[in-house]
Amino acid sequence: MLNGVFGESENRHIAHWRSVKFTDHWEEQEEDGTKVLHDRERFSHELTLVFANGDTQILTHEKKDSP
Amino acid sequence: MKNAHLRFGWLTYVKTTEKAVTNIRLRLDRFIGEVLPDPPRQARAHFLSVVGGDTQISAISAAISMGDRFMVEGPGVPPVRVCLERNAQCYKGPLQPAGRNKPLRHLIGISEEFAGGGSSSATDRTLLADSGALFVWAALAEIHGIPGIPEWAEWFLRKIEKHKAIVPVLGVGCNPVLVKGDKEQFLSWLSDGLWGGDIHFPDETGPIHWPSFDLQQVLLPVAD
Repeated sequence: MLNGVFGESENRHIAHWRSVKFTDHWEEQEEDGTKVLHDRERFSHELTLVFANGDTQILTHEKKDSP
Repeated sequence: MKNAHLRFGWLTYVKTTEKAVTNIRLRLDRFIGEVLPDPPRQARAHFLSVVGGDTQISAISAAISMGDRFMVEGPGVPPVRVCLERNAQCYKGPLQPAGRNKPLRHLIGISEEFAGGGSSSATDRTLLADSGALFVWAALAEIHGIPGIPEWAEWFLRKIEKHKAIVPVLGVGCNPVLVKGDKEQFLSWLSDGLWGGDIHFPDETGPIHWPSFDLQQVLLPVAD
């Protein structure tokens, strides 16, 4: 993991990586009416950036919703 | 440094059954606890360290496992009823003070929250064993994954003090604090600081070297 200060001018930033546990939760309805609850836990990386101009960003494996 | 009898507090455990009353009073050298708003004079213990004899330490260990309550008092800490609550962890070991033939027993009890890193994302709070600027900033940066440099520590502490996001909690032999806020909040303050020119990026590109903190450093007796 590359934690530190990188980039130049407007791209100058500090990066901080860490491992984060993500939990996916979903439910299934069986034909007989039984509701099955699923929880799937997994680890993934999270990258947090702070730019010299004050902007911040948190990047994960998940796609960001379009504005 | 003050003598031990001036620095240490007391932990008292009273267990009443149909046939007998057990009363145990042990020296308490470290304690971290959080006063509960209701009922009054009760606290949620997060960390306690006591020394005593074999039987006494075993009794306290059993009491922690059962979720029993204790009375705790010490320098700057008025008598308060405390409990480590469920899933607390216990660690026991011998201590050999100079000039004593028999070793003492030492017990450390840690609450589930404190054992899990002192941070709860559900409640946006972080419990820290020390109130020093560098320790608070380094711990929050590590726990929440916040990019930063050690030189921002004093500024960050002033920022959380200004927003009343840091409150002292009960402590014997240490200066614990509770920090309220989540990662987004802390990043927002960093953003404001950089935007306003209160904090600056280092000139050099490359890795950031954070100081390391060991338990001895954090829990060392406070100098007079």
